[in-house]
Amino acid sequence: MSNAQLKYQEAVDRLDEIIAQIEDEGVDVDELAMQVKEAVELIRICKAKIDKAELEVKKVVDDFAKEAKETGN
Amino acid sequence: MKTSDEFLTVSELNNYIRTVLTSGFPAPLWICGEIQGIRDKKHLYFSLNEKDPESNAVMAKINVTIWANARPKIEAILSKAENGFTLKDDIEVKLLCKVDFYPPFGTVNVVVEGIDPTYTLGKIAQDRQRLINTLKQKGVLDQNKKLQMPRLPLTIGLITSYDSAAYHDFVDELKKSGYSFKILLVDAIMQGKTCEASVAAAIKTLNRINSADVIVITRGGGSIADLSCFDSAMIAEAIAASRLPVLSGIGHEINTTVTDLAAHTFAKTPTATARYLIGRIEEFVRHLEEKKEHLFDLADKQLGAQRDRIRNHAISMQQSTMGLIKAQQNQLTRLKETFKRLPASKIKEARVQSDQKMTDLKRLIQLHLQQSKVKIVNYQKLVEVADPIKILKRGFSISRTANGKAVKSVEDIKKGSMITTQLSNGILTSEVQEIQKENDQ
Repeated sequence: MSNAQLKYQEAVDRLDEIIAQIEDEGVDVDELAMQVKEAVELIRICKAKIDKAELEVKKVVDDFAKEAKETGN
Repeated sequence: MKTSDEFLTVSELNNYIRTVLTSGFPAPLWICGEIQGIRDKKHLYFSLNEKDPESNAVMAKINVTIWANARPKIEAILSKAENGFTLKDDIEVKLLCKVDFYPPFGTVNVVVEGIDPTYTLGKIAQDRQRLINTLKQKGVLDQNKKLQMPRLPLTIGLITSYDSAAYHDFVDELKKSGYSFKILLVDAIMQGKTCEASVAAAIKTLNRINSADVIVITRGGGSIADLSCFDSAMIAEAIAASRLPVLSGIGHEINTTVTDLAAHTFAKTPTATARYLIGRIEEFVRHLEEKKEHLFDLADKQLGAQRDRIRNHAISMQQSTMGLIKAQQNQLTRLKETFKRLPASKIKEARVQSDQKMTDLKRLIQLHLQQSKVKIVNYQKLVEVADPIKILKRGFSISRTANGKAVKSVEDIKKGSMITTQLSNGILTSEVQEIQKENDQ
């Protein structure tokens, strides 16, 4: 699965997995670099998803408030 | 008996024969026979033959003369007869004759003084009837009638004598009709001895070509004796064998010929034959017109019925729709009334409740998002700590063997081997001069 299609919860699960591996001292330096790279990408995706969700929620709430004001109910 | 000294001259003998003969036949006699070898040289000469009815071979014959001075009388009798005819080869005649002897030639001479035309006509009629009976028995006369006469006989295989009056009568009549008839003419001999062979061959030719719809055999009128060649078994059999229907129009006032009887259909004259064909086309056109009318009527009726049905549907649909709309309107009015009666305080209460729900929801979502953010920031911190680049910046380095593998233990390496060392901003290459192992590791 490409990262772009990843669901938020899947991204977070993967991050947990990577953190657990990083915390394991036996991990190879080269592998570590790959994992960090993947983790950074996942963090960027999660941030974007959160930002997007926040914006959408704000829009829905605002629209609703505006609608309520217009109809006077 | 006379002695050898006594003798007669030939003329004495002939005159003596003549005396004996004429005294033996004092009065004229009726003689019947078939005319052959007729020669018209002012006087009319021919031989009168008797044939064997079975083999048709000549059994007896006699020379006959009609003197020029007797001819007007004979011809008057013939022309006055019903269905007049002229004397010619192959016809049977009954003649009133005086038997004479012509001394200069020494020949018996039968001289015609009168004729009974009813005998000849009766003979023709008899022969004809016999032929008809035979052909009937063999089924020859019915064969062509079994064929279907085409409804549109537009291509006509015409058997007649080209440029004859019959040809022009027939063609002109077809032209007058304005229909586009096509004629395949087979020029044939329409009288005399060769007539039957010529007509029969023409029928076969048209069947072989096989592009005509119908065959027409036609000629102008004539005497019974003229037309007796059409009382022909050969023609009748050719017609019976024909795959195309045959129409005959042999101008005959009183009797029908065997050809007429064998044909699919016959008419009296070339013009009448043409009219029959035109009638066939007209009938087809009329039939088409009737079909067209019938179709139009049917279509009209169908259209009318469908129109009525649609109209009825429309009316019932309108009625039911109106009913439905009315019911909906009533329901709306009732609802409106209900809402009007609903206490305003209850609405207010509901609004406050919904506003509260909205606020709660907003808060909950924000909380959830905040938690997510914090979690992600924690991840970020953790990852940053692990990032090898950042570790290198703090002064750590990564050594690698010649094959690029990271050196994790002194046992991975030997003295004198070359290693590369990665720093935060570059790579060093060095030779291992000494290895010191720490035991407590």
